[in-house]
Amino acid sequence: MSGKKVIVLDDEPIVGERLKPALEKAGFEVETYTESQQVVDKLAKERFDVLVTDLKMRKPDGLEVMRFAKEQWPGIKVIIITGFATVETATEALKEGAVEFIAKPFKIRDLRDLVVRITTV
Amino acid sequence: MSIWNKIFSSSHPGEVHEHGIRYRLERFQEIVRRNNRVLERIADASEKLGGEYIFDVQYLHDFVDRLGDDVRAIALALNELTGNRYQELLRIVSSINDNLRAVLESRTVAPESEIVLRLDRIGTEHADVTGSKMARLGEIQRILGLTTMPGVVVTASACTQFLESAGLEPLITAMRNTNGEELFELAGELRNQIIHADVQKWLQKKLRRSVRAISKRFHTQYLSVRSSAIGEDEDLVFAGQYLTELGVRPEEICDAYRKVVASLYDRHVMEYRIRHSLPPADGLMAVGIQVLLQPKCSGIIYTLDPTNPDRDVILVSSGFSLGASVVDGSAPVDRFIIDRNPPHHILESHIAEKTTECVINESGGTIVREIEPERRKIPTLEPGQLQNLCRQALKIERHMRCAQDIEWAMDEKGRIFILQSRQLKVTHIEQNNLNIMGPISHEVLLKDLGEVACRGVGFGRVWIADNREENAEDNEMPDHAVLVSRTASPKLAALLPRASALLTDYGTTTGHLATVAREYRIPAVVDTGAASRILEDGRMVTVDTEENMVYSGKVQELIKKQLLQASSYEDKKEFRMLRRLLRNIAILNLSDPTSPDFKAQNCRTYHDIIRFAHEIAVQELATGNWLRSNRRCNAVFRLDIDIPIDLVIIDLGGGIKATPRKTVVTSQHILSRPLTALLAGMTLEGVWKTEPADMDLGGFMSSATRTTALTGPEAARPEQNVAIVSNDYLNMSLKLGYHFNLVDCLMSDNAEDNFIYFRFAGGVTELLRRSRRALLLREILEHYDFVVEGKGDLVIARLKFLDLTRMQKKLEMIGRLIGFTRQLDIHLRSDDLVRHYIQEFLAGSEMPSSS
Repeated sequence: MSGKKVIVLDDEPIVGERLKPALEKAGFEVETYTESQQVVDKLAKERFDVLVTDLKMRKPDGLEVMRFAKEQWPGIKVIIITGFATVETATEALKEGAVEFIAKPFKIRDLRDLVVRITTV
Repeated sequence: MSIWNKIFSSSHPGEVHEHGIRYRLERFQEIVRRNNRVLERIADASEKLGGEYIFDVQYLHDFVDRLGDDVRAIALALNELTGNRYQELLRIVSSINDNLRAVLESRTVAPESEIVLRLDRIGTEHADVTGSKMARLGEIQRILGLTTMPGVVVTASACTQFLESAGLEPLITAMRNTNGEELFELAGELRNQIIHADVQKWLQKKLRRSVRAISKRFHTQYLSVRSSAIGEDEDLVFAGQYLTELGVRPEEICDAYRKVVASLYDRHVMEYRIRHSLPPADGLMAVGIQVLLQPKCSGIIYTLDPTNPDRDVILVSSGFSLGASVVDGSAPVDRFIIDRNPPHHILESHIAEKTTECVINESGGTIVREIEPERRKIPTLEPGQLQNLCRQALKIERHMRCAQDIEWAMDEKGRIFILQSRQLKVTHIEQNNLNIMGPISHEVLLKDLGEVACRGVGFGRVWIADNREENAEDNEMPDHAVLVSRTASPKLAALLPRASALLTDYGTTTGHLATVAREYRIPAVVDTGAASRILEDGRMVTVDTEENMVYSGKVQELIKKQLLQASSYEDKKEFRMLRRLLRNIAILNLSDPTSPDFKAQNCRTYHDIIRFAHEIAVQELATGNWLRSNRRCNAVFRLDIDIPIDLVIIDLGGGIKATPRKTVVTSQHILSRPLTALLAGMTLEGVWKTEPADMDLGGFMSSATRTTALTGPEAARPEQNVAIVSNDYLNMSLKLGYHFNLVDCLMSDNAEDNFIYFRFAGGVTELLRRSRRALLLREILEHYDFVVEGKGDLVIARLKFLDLTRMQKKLEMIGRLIGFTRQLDIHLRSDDLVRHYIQEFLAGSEMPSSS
C-alpha cells in the first residue's frame, strides 16, 4: 500500500464514484468531490500527492483549482480529465504544469496506471 | 477541400455529367459514408457497457446528438435519392429521437411494441416494455428453466395508448408543471379518472382474450394482476410500492388493470419518486396477468443475510397459503437459516405458531382466516423442500450476479413457483472492506492477457468449446461453465446465457460475442491469445475481469464481493441510460431484405433505419431500369471482362474514358486508379479458375435456415454488381456466389486522404465454417497491416494514409483475396485447413482446389 493521497474533482458524481474504489484497490487514499470550492477549501489545509480534476465546471473551474493546488503544494501532480470539447484548454493546462490529460470516456485502468506511474517516479 | 468534394471535382475538364445523376450519386455516397459511421458509433458505445470505461451524461448527450444527425441525414438522403418515397422514415427518426431524449431526461417513454407478450417469451432485454420485474421473471423461466406462474404481460405500449385514449394526457402534462400539495391533488384526481376511465374496446378485447386463454389452458378461475413499472429499475427503488391484485376473476380483469395502472400515482409512490430525484408525474406501468393457485405455503428467501453478509447463510421465511402475511410481516411465520454451501444444512429452524393464513376468496379477492389449532405448529416446509428452494434461489442469484430477494410459493405436490426476484438490498456493507482485500492465495493461471469485454467475477469448470466442434450441441455445456474458445465465434452466443464467464484467444471487445456477453452481463475477456491452451478442460477456476485475472479453484472472497456489489457500475444512472438508449438504437429487427416485413414502417431502431436505407439506396442505384435509362448519359457502363462478375460501373467523373454513347467498356477504358488496381488483383492468373464447389446438404440447409445476427452483415446486397467510381475513388458492391464484398476506397495523390474500407459478409455454409473463413480473412488482412474487426461472420478491415504505390499493392491484394475466398467457406472443413489456406494465399499461390 503506497498510502499516497489522491483528491478527485468532477462535477459528474460517477467519475469519483468509480475512480475511488479503483484507486483504493491500488493502495491510494482517495477523496472525491463534485464541487470545486470544496476542493479549494480542502487543499488550503491539507496536502495531497495527486489532484485529478475535470476542467469544465462552475467557478472556480478546473484550471483555477489546479493553479491554486500548485501554488499551495508545489509538489502536487495534476491530471486533467477533459471532455472532447476542451482539448485546447487541456493543452493550456499542460503548459501550466499538469502532468497529463486524459479524455472522457476513458478506461479506469488507464487512469489508475497513470496515477501509479506519476507517484512512483 | 473535403475528400468528397475532391472526389466529385475530379472529373476531366470538358466532361459534364447530367446533374440529376450526379446528385443521386452524391446522395448515395452520403448514405454509405454515414452508414459506416453510425455502425462505428454504435459499436463504440456498446463497448462502454462492459464497465471498463468511465463516461458521463455529457458523453451520452454527444452520442445521441451525433448519431441523430447521421441517421436523419441518411433518411433525408434516401428520400432525395428516391423522390421522397420514404417520408415515413423521417417521422420514425423523430420518434426514436424523442424516445432517446426522454431517456436522457430520465422521462419514461415506452418503445413501440406488442400490446400483450407471453411471459415465457420475454427476458431482461424487454424491460423497457414489460417492466424489469416481469422481464426478470420471464428470464427465470425461459433461461433458467425454473417454474413461474404462467401468464402474459400487458406492455407499457398498452398503458401509453390507454392513458392517451382516455384523454388523460392534459392532466399528466399539468402535473409535470406543478409541485407541492397541488401535485398530490392532481395525482388524486388522475387516479380517480384512471379507475373510472373506459378501457377501450380493442384493449378490452386483448385483455379478455389473454385471460380466457390462460384460464382455459390452466383450468383456473383466479388470477394475479401485478404491477411491473417501467423505468429506472423502478422495482429496485419501489419495492412493494405498487399494487398487486390477487384472486382476480376473469370478468374483473379490466377493473384490476385500471387499479394497477392507477397505483402509479399513489401519493407514497409520488413522494418516493420526488425523494429519488425522478420526475414525479412520469411513469408507465406494464401489468402482469398470471395464474393464481392456492398454494400450500409461500414466502420469501434471501440468498444472503442482508444484515450480516459475511455469514455464509440463506434466510427463508414461510407461512401457510398465500404469502401476504410473510411479505407484510403482519403475522408470525416460520423462519429458517440454511448453509449456503451444498448440501445446504439447516442451521436454525424457528417454527412459529401460525394463527392466520391468507386464502383466495371464492367470490374473488382474498380473505384472512384462522388456522385450525392442530395445524398451527406444523412446519410449513420439510428439509428436502427447503434444500430444493435454496438450490433454485442460488441458481437465480448466479444468473443475476448478485444476492437475491425472492418471493416463492409451493403447491401441495411440493412444486416450487418463483413469483418475483430482485436484488437484495444489503444494509451493512463497509465499502472499504470490500475494496481492500487481502492477497489471494489461489494459483494465478492467467494474468492481464487480452482485453476485458465485460467486468465482473464468475466461477465454474472450464469448458473448451473447440474440443467439441463436431456435433456440438448447446446443451452439452454444463450450466455455469467457464466458456473458453479459440475464436470469438458468434455460434457461441447461444451458450452465453448459461455460462459464468467467457475467455477467448482471439476476438475484439466490439465483436458480436462480446456484445452478447455484455447483454447478459457475463464477465468476459477476449483476445487473450492463450486461454484455450493454458486452461485445462474441467478445471474449476474463478475469473475476475475487474482485475483481469484467472485463478485456480473457487475464490470465495471474490465471489462474495461480487454478490454484494455486482451492480456497482451497472446500477449507475449513466449505465442504465446507455443500456436503455442502445435498446432504441442498436437492435436490428429488419435483418432480411427479402422478407415482406422489410418495410420503412417496420423500422423501430436507428440500426433498422440505416440498414433499410442502405439496402434501398443500393437497390435504387443497382436496379436495371435506372441504369438502362441512363446508359447513354456517359455515366453508366457495363464492363466487358473475362471473369464472371457482371459489373456495372457508374462514373462520378474521371473514372472511365469512353467515347460518346458507348455503354460497354473494357479494362482499357478504366481511368479509375483504385478500380484498375483491384481488377488487376482479381484477374491475376489462377485466382478465378475454380468452378463453384460441391456442397454437402447440411452446409446448405444451415444457410437456408440461418438468421442474421444483431451485428450481422449490414453490407449492401444488390443483385447487380456495381462499382461507383471517379478517378480516385471506388465504391464497389459485389455479390459473388453467396457472399458479399464491399470495397470503399480513395486513392489520391495525397496519402493523408487515402483509405481502404473492405467489408466481407455472408456465405452459404453453417456459421462455424463461415467463422473459419472470417478468421482466415482476418489473419490475412492483418498480415497486410489492415486494422480488422470481426462481428459474427462479418469482417471489416480498414487501412489509411497510404501513398499511391502502397495503395496499388494493397488493392491488388484485396482483388486477389476476393477471388480467392469466393467459395472458400465450403472448403473449410477443419481448423487445420484454415492455416493451410492462409499459407497458400500468403505464398501467392493459386486458388484452393475443390477436393
